[in-house]
Amino acid sequence: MERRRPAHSIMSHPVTEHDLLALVEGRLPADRVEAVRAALSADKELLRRVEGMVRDRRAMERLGASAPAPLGMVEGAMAAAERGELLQHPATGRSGDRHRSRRRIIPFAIAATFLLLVSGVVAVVLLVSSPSQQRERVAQAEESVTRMYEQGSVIMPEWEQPEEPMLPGMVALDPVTGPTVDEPLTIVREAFVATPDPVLEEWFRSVEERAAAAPMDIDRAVDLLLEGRLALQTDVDPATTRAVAGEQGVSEPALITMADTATDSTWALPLTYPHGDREALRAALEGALDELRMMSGASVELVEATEPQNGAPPRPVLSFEDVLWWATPHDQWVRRDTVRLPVRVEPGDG
Amino acid sequence: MSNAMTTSAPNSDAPSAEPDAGLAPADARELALVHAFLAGDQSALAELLEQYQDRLFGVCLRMMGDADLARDLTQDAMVKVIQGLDRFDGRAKLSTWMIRVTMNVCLTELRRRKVRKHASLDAPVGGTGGSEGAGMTAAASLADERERTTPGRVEHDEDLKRVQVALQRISPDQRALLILRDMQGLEYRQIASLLEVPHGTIKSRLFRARAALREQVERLGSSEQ
Repeated sequence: MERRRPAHSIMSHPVTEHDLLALVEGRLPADRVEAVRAALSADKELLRRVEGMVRDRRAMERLGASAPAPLGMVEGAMAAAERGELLQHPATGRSGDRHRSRRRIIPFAIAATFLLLVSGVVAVVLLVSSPSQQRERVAQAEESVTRMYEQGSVIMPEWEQPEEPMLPGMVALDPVTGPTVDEPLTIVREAFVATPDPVLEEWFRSVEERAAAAPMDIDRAVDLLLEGRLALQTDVDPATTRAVAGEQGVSEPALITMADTATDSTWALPLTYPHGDREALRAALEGALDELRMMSGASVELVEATEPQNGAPPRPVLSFEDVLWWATPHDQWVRRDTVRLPVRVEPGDG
Repeated sequence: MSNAMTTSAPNSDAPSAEPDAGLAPADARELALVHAFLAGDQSALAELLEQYQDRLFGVCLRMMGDADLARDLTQDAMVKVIQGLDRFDGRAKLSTWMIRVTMNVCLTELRRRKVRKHASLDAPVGGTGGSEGAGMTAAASLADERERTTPGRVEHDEDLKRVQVALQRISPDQRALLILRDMQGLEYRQIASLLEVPHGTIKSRLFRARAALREQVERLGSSEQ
């Protein structure tokens, strides 16, 4: 669970992974320098690793600058595209050239034959993987998530780590068998699933539906955020929500957090954005909203707070990075908490 | 040229694709090239692709770790770019869109091959220009590099080689993040959009990617001693 905690805590000035990332990328805000310096002085191993990351970044930059494309690549691509008659635009593709038209019949004929063959295969696949089967898998997912709720109300599928043991409490999402809580579990990273996974798709769809059901005036929200008067109302209760950490199979108080944003009403990390970049702030807010919506069961509304929220101090949040939040629709929609998001302007990329 | 630009926009549903005063000069020039190509000017397409071929090849090379494969995939990506130019709506920078297409080609190929996190030390290491590096093993490459470099540059260049090998040992998604950030210089929101991940998770993902890379670099370092 180490990587979900602040990289280093110093009383009321926790040094987070984001601080260290900023340091590595040379954009650490001036007001964080002292805290980070103190943390690194106190932890030589951390210092060594961060220095290594700086060297790695420099090496990456040099690698990026040392890869000239082989000669003839553009010509090859254009020829390949032309062979596929991909360069048909209004100026050339609709010229009525008979020769061109006749040539086009051949690939169409091949394509038609191919389509007939493929459609047969697809029919068989559809029979095997019918909507009812997909619904069943989704139901299984909900069932297993519900079971996991005995340990925690927020569940995070983790990525497969080949050399790491599968520990109790992991949530599985197997592309073939669907989710399971049996052990040992196979945890499949979405990126390695060859085709869109219907279970994940279903969850994402539900998030989108939730968003569509409660349209928000994001521009107005950004205005409020800049004034420090934005609050998010959700039905998530940070005080009671517990997260299941897939990697370690443990359940612990979560105080609902998101990767960049904390949602506890008392403690909150600010949304950060580069000075003058309203779009970045808007994107950060939309990301925060999406992640809140992913805590399903959770609904979220934007509200105007009566008092400025900018003064909220940061807290040592559990940094649930790289997350795909799943949660059980564990009870009725009850508005229980107001999440306040202060905003902080960063001088550079943020 | 101006006539072509107004009569054959890349996407009639996307008026934002029209060059306007709000765009940086480079963007306006790029869009002008797109319009020129769509109006039938093949040289405009060549100019566009040549402008970005190094970046696209760099993405493929570092994602795949093999120069020959990178060459093929870059070409595939370019074909997809050509195919998709008439649908480019101008909302993203052309360069970002082309990198996105290229990255998708690489990730698709990696998934197809079911390449996971671990590349062997004996896996081929990509060269930088044709097949120069193709066929060399990482271990041999490191050793060879030690022999060729002067003492003052040895540590520097070995760092480079280790990072190059270590990059192939981390997950494709982490690799993509680092390539987009460090090699392509994209901003967080561009990376989030390009990889279709929540913007709010980018920094944490990046930190994890850096940590993963560092771990592999250190493993390589200790295995050489």
